[in-house]
Amino acid sequence: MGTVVEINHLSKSFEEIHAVRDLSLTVEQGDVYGFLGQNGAGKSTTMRMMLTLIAPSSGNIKIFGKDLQHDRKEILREVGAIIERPDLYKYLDAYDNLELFARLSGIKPTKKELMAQLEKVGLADRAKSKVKTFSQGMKQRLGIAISLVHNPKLVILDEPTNGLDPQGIAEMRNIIIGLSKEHGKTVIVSSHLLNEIEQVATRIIIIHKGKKVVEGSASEMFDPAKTLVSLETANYDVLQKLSGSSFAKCYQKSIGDEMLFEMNRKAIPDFNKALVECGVEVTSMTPRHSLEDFFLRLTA
Amino acid sequence: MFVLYKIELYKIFRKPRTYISFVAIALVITLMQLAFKTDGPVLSELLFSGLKDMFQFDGGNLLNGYFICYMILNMLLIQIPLLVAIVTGDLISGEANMGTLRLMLTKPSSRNEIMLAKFAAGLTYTLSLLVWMALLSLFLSMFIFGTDDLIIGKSNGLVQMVVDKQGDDVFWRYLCAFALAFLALGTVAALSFMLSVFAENSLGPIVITMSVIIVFTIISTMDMPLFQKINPFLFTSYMTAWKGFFNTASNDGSGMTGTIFSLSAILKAAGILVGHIIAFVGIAMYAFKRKDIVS
Repeated sequence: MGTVVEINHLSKSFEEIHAVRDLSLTVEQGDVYGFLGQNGAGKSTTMRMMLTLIAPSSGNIKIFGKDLQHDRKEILREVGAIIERPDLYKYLDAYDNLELFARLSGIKPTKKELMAQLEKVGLADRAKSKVKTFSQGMKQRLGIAISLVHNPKLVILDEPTNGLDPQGIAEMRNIIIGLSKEHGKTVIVSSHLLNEIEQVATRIIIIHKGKKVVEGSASEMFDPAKTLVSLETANYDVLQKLSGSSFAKCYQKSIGDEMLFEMNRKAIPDFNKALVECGVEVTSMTPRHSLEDFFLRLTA
Repeated sequence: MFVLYKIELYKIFRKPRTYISFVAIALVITLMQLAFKTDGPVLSELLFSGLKDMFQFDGGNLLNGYFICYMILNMLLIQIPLLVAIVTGDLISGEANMGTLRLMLTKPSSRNEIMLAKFAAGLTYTLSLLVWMALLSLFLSMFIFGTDDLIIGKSNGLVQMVVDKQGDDVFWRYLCAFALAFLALGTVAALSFMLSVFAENSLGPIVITMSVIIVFTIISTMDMPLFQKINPFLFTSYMTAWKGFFNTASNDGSGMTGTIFSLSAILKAAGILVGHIIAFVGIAMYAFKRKDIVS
């Protein structure tokens, strides 16, 4: 294991707008690193700086231990990326698009290799169809094939599920997990949707208004021992009724009609039972991660 | 770099819009040739009746392939820049609009390499357009109408005659004229290429390129003291320098085989056009290297 990406005090301003402010992070080999933040938080700008599409105002980026500004070509040979959506040459077919970008990546694959790549993303039977006839999901899969055709060590995917239907989202999720688990690639993936990141990421960073808010491993952030339980009830004396129970200590706070308790996820059935025994009429009870609560408050 | 150039060329010639220019040129030229073929005697009488009153012609073919090619070039070389800009104005802005530019720039090629490859491919397209035009306007006209002396009117009202009795004094002038026309069209290609760096769709560069050419041409043709001072600085003033190859050193209209009236003026025009190309492409590369790709 080693550090694949190291970003130090990265900032980017577009005239008056500070898109990214003093951002530092590290991505380790084999990570699926989730970039989480609402739209306009600075995720895409950071990823574009990692691909030299945008020049930083200050700070530096090292990838594979090399400085991105000085060793750009060498680094990008080992990087595959999709930024926002894979816009391809609509007047060319899938095969030609793949071959063209493979050549741009510095390799000259055989027809068999290109077809194998299309096969992996389920587009072999549409190899000779013009891209303009493709659905968004098919374009996204072709984009993945293009980003992987030169067998990169690092894959950067910016909002890869944008515009996809539920089936497409599930396919994309499986592709991302497969890249890490089956092919040992380091993946950086961004989204403004927590559940997308939650299901694929091993490490997560949340950025807001260009600043890092929190960074850590997914297992820490989604610790089941710190599950928040949101309770809605018509009873105003819940805490009094629960006073004899150990669950009273789990109470955190109230937001409007919602009461929040923090407990181990496994204890939720017992909590439910205790509430019924105490005579509390439960309107709804929803378990959620502390991160989700945090993220929702952040992006509200 | 050569791989990039080949890829750019491949992209240009796989785009349907590229062939609009070739079809348009073929259509216009063949229509003109058809008109000359059909109404040849009437046109000949109309064009040369005054001359026949003053000079004695020994039964030569005045409405020959060379003359028709000259007429075609005179008319078309003003419109061709639009056909060039349709493709070269799209080289960067078209990719920015499609979104392929950002995917392309994540690949291991420097921005300067990409720009040079794109411009070289744009120049190749311009050259192919000109070769296509030469094939149709010169070679096809020579085949249909034959060859003979070339008689052309000059802007000062005099008549220039290039004698081709031995069949060796007009053809080379056309080759040189097409070479200079390539530089002129290359300048248009460079201008629209530069403008495409600053645009997010190809319409802007194409319209601006044509506007610049129209405005500059109007300034060049208006005989006013202020505009005469500006003229030497406008590249459009040198776009018709190819006509200089048909001015022989003789002033009496009889023509002197193998001579050019002012080679220095032609070389100066070529130098200025090349200078413009270098400047436009230089600005484009400088701006593109510093451009943040946010689209």
